[in-house]
Amino acid sequence: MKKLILSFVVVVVLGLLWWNQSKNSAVPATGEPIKIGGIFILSGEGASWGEAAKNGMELAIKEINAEGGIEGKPLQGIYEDDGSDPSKAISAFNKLTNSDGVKFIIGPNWSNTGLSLIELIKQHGVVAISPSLGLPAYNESSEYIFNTWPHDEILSENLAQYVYDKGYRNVAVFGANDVWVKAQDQAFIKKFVELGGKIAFLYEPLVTETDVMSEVTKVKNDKSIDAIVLTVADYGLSSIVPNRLKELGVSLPIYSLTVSFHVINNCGNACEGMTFLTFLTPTSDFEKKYKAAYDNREVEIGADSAYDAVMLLADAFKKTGSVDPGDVQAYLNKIEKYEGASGSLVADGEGAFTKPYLIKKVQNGLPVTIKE
Amino acid sequence: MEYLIHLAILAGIYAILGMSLNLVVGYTGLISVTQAAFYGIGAYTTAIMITRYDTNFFLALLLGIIISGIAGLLVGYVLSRFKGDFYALGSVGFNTIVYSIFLNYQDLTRGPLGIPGIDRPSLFGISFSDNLPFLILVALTAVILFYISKFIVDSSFGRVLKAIREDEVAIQIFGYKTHQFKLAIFVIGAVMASIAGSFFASYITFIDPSTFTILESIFILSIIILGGLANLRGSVIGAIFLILLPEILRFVGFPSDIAAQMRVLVYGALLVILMLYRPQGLVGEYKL
Repeated sequence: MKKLILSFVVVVVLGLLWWNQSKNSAVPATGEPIKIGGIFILSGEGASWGEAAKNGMELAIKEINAEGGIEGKPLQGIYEDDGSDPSKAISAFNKLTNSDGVKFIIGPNWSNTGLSLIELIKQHGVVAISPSLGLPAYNESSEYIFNTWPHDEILSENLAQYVYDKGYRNVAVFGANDVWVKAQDQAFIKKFVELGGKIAFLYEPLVTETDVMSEVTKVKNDKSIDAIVLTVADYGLSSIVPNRLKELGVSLPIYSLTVSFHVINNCGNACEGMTFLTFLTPTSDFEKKYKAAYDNREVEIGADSAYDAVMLLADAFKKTGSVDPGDVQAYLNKIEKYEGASGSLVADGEGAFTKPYLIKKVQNGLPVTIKE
Repeated sequence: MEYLIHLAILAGIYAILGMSLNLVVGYTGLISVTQAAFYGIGAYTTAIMITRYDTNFFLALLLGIIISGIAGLLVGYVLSRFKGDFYALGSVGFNTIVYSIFLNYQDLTRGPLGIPGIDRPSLFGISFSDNLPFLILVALTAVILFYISKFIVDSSFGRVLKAIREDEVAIQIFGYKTHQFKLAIFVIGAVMASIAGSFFASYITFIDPSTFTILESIFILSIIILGGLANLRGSVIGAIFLILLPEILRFVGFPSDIAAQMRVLVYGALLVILMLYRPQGLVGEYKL
């Protein structure tokens, strides 16, 4: 028992020493820093979203500090992992606000954690900007809450319109029983049916499902189906379904939403020809900067919009001359348009920013823009 | 201070869950991996009653207790016929079924979209919306449940439970209908877990099915194995340990690009070390 306690104490003490040393060397001593907290998914499922957002946030902070910070004060990013778990998100929020004295937060990434933080954000009067949460219920719940990622349902409705305009009337939808995907399914189906289309087949398994052969066979045998819609976004199913379709020789056109590079890579060549709509619209300048800073990595969802979130905060600090959350939220709520690294953002007046989407097609294993 | 209060609230909720499971696993020797199901039933009942019917928290909590009790009775009736590994597998099955209901009965539970906007309790004009009064409420409930559990395990009923754990066949020879005892303690455990669920829903103000998976049941089982089986204090110590440890690790200054992964790694390593040196848990009186 004594050995156990001793080893535990040693780990904690060494860690604290390391922390102290790294803290002293990381922040330039040019004034008291303005702290910005980041609550992201940094471990477990969805960690790629959190990592992208953290990278975007770091990049923005580095640039602002290199240009002298905010009136001589550097920005300091403090990052906490929520593991996409609501209770961990609350712990992270409390740690940032109570222990670190943070008044501005970038994040969280996903809806479940965002919704659990609403009451705390209201109570503490903290400004929170999510780089990848596209749920109206989040940003519309308080004047202190913002999204730099547009509402996803807008994209789903546009996908319905796009597929309908292409002349398809009977589609098979592969979704998933997940908070984000479900919202996309519902928005797509509602709009497509309103337009006069028909959902000939709908499959919404758990996101962990890997065997979809029987469902794909049903689609193959249903000759009325003229197109396939994938709303499973970043999950494994988004590459599994196209592969099974290809194996069975189904050559129907595939449409999707917000498909990332790693999905296309996982697909092999089964995603070739797939068309998708996306709000991931980083400027070429940002892409270059990001690749240079992070080992030539592609910009993933959340990176550019987290960068913009920090830049918006920095703008607010400079223009208002204040780091009071009340002043900052008032400034942010007055913004109508913002030219950012993630595109031309337009405020909806309720804390969300939207922007034009891109239509892309997978060609030779790469997403190529076919319409802006 | 708010941060510490928050951690204390979580520790209190998990202490209740730990005690509820320790009665079943530690004292009776039934390896149940289904506590998250009853935890979820309490949470969902409270969430639905408060958000849809504007019910007072305490009435919702009571309804959660009743529903969990009935569910515990039905499931426990089936499970009490099993022993050992079969009992564990059966309990896993129940957790899976309940999780599936939370996920798929969307008219009632909103499925993966979850239920937001769950209010905090209030009673006779006293509001528990601030964290400190809420902590007092949770702590008070945990203390009451601790003494109720202590009363149960110290009673003749509790001695029969321990006898079932040690040698079920031997106690049956003395005329005890052991399945009735197993059923009774299972229902008591279910009801206690439901109370924890009600507090969790009201505290977090948002719930979705992902909180009530089999992994959560395993986490609750870890609490009592680490804290100590067949020891109620062990449940409380285990909950405090497992809630605080990852939070302490937030203050360990790993480089930011690997901090989250390092915390998970150190957390896992410390648990392995603990199991190597204290396989019976910190204050355990029984080993599985």
